[in-house]
Amino acid sequence: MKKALQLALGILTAIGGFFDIGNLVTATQAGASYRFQLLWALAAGTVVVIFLVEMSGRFAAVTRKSIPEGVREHLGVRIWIVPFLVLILLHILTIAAEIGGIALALQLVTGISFFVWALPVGVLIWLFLWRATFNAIEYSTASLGLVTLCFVVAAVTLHPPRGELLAGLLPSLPRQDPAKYWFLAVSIIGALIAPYLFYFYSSGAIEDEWDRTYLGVNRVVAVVGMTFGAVISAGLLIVAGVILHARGIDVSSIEQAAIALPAVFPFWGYTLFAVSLGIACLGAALEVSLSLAYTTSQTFGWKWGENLEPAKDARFALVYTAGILVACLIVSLGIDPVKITVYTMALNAAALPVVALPFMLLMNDGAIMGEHRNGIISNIATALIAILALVLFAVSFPLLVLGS
Amino acid sequence: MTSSRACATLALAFLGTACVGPEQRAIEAVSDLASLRATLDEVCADAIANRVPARFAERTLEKGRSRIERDRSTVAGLAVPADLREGTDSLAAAILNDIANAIPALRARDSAALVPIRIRLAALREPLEALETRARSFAAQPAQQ
Repeated sequence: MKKALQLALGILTAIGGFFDIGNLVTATQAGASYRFQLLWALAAGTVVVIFLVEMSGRFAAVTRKSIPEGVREHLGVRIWIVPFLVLILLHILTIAAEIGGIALALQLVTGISFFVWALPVGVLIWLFLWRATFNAIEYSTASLGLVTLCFVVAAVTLHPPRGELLAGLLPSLPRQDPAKYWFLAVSIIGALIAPYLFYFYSSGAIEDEWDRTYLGVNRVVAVVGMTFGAVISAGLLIVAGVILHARGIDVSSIEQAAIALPAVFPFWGYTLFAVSLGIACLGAALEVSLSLAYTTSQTFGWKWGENLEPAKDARFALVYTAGILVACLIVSLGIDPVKITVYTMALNAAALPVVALPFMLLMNDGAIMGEHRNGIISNIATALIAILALVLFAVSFPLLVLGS
Repeated sequence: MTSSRACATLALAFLGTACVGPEQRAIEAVSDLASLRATLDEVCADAIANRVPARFAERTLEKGRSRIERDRSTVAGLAVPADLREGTDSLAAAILNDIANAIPALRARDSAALVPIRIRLAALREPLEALETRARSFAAQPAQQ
């Protein structure tokens, strides 16, 4: 009974907690610019995130250790230095993007510029982390995050042509702006396979005291939860494809993204969009801040856990406090959160080989994982996407940056 | 040896794609202008049909104004053919004029006044598409022009 409840909660968390500003921005831009042509990137990223999340949960359940602890103990500190530094950078940029997302939602509702909201939003997130337990954070934000299902409802209401949707699942060449097309493909993949997702999931499994008996739960949560989560992104991509692409609107600001939903839900669509953006980013900001503190504390062997009082793991609390503060400063400078998001998501994808390599080595070590070590399919799928993302990033990134 | 050759190939690809000239910037600015026209048209339609709050429509128009001015000055500062530069300038001016008329109408919640503005914005679609095609043809063969 307890496992069934945890399974349900796990799936709910995966669905509600999956969607964030990265998914929202990249899916909207992809739909607006290329209609359904980039659905394949969403599908490819989803397959890899299922493998990565399942692996991270499996590692936690089998070893009862976090990934940084495992790397430190079995592979040595040296191999972890570069991935750790890259992870810190990506975490901080992602927190900035999520805080920027909440600030943009508030800007949509109030008309007050996003950078004014950065600090109040940061304080709110910090207070939440300071006061709440892991489960309170996980379940409350994930439950509220189910509001993002409105994108799926909107997509179904629009009756998109099935043949075109299926064609979008196969990679195809763009008719124009190839650099933008490939950069968006990388960004979509990066939004799905954000490293915080599987580091957070693994730490959460330890917080929830998972053991080998949870391997089945882990597999179902990873497959069902991530798939349904990706369906929300696909829903938004379809809505943007039907509404914005048809009108010739490219999305480079949040206001342009916000006009997709009112066409389906008159008047309320606008509010729904702002609420979805705010809640999704709040949940993600909490998760990424925690993931930053988890990764750092586990790397240095500090005491960690969101269920502990901050006084009992002061360095853990200090890390998320510092991370939120730096992220707030980035947003306060007035840098467009949409731009921060797109570039951070592309960096997420490009950094996958670096941050996932030590983890993959652990997952393939029979001495650590025993009979639960990785199979050939998960290794090949992860390696292929990691290399593809890196190459596409290297080719499309400079053109896009210098072009704009 | 193989890995160093692969690195060199990747570096060349990186440097090759990094060469972005005025052609690409012109395409981006004109595309943005076309996208903004479509956005403003849609927002006005939403405001007329009461699908979005008038204050949101007003803010979107205000933001669109500053981006149109930026796109206009971007193309004005590029070494592009005169017809492309002048076309961008006149179409940007036309959209800015419509924004200037639409904002007071939105403030006054005067939907009727928005209808002719929408018609004018819709009429700018084709000239902007033609301008975008012109920018792309210039990008394809800049040396001959």
